[in-house]
Amino acid sequence: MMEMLHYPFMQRAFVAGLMIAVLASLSGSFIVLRRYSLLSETLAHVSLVGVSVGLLFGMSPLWMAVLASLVASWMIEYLRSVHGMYSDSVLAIFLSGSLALAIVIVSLAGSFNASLFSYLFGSILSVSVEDLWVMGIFGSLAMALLLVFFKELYFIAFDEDVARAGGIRVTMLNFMLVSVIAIIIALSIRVVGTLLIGALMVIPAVAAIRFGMGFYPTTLLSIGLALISVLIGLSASYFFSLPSGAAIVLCLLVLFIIALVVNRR
Amino acid sequence: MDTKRLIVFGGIIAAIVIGMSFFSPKLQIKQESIASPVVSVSTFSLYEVARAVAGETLEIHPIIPLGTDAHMFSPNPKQVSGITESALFIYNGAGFETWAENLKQTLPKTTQVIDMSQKVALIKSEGHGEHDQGEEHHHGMYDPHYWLDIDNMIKMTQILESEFSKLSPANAELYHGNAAAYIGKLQKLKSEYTAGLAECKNRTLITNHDAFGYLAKANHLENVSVIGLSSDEQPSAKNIADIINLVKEHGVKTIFFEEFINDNVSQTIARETGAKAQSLQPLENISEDELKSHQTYLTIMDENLKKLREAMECR
Repeated sequence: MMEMLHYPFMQRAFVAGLMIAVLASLSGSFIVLRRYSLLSETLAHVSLVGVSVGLLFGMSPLWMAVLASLVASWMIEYLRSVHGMYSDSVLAIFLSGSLALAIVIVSLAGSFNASLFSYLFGSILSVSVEDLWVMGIFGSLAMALLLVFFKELYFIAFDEDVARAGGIRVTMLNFMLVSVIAIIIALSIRVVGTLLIGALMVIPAVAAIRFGMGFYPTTLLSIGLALISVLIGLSASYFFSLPSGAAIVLCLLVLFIIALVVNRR
Repeated sequence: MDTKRLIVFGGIIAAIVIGMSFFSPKLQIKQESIASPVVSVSTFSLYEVARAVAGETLEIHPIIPLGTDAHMFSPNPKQVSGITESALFIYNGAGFETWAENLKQTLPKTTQVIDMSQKVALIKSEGHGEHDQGEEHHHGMYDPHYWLDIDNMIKMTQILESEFSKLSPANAELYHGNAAAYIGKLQKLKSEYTAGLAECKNRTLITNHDAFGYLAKANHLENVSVIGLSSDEQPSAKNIADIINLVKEHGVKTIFFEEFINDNVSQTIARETGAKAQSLQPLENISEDELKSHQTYLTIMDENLKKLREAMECR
């Protein structure tokens, strides 16, 4: 079982996967409660626009993805909170719109778009030490913000109006939350890919909620589930020669089904 | 109540993990000293050249499995560990394998990496929306399908001969002989192409994927592709209309499509114009059937030449 850890590339894959698992599942709890789950999917597609711009102009795809994801997250939150548009329709517009934009940009480049393909499914097996540092630094910042404002975010997640009446700066915190999520997503598409990051954010929280516990234990359980999925998924990917990102997501799905069955009523 | 469910849940997960570790196949790490060093190669053309030069003296591992679309490939952990354990890792480059560009930075120092595209003659990609001159270099500037230029195959053979001789100096003489023999065969193939495509009624080559730029250039054919360099790109409507007009204008009899990928677009054009749709193998990879019938770069290129001669009505 342990011989896979002899390989430095597997060690790096585990570290990256576990970091992303904690970040994605922690921030995922908030968006699931707010029925904002598709935010992760949408921002992942927006990141793809950043990646394609980066590939077109020879700039770093990672940083362009962070930038695109941040800007889009502000626009989405602005349309939702200030203009009062339904969050699901705003997300639908951004989701398909950004994908269309990414495809057009890539075809403008007239270049080999296999490069974009690797961002769809991620490449956790070729994470470098520098990538780990970038993830670690930005991840800790995001984590710190989430933990400092944990209680406020929790109130907002349950009832925005009550939270506002209670003197919480809802608008500011909402923008902070989407920014943090935007950064986490842009950083993690390298690892699990655009098409799969949504699962890592949403499924652990949904599965944990089935146990009907308080918010704190639910959040802890959801982080635990994400960590277990990364561990089992990567190991399964190693032993049975499966694509890594997909193996992780399938593990999440299995855990979700077990949680459903255990909590059937 | 809650805790009970949690315990059941935890129990099931633990059972799965334990079950998995029992059933996980025992991977033997080849510790027993292998006499011959391992060389990992990414694409089919590199595999062909490497085998022709090395003979039985080196273990040549193809990374991209046979019968799959090479554009869509991404390695799993076993394949990555195979690469990290080899003495030499050779890949096509020029943006053909994005995974390799990422991977090479993380390989151990014991694995030497060769980007073959650095060593052969490349042509710029002529995708739609062509770049202005003087634009910055980046991925995808060059067409990566360079193995379809036989001169490049000769160059690759020479490079692998010298690299393998460094890897295993005792066999240098053997490699020299093997390389010379293979280059002889490639030169024969090249002269067949030159002679076979010298006098043709029609010199327009229409394909569904821009993989044949090198072949067209080396043989003075006019190459028109329906879609870009990557096989998963979608053509624009205007693109298709232009090509239909072109087919009618030049009286093109055959439209080529690549094996492995969806040929809807070629079929549409063929239906609209009454031309025939025919497959042409770009040798990005080999299919399982071709492998079983012992096809090689040389035999498939021969087959391609026959199809081209028929399509262009060459004498």
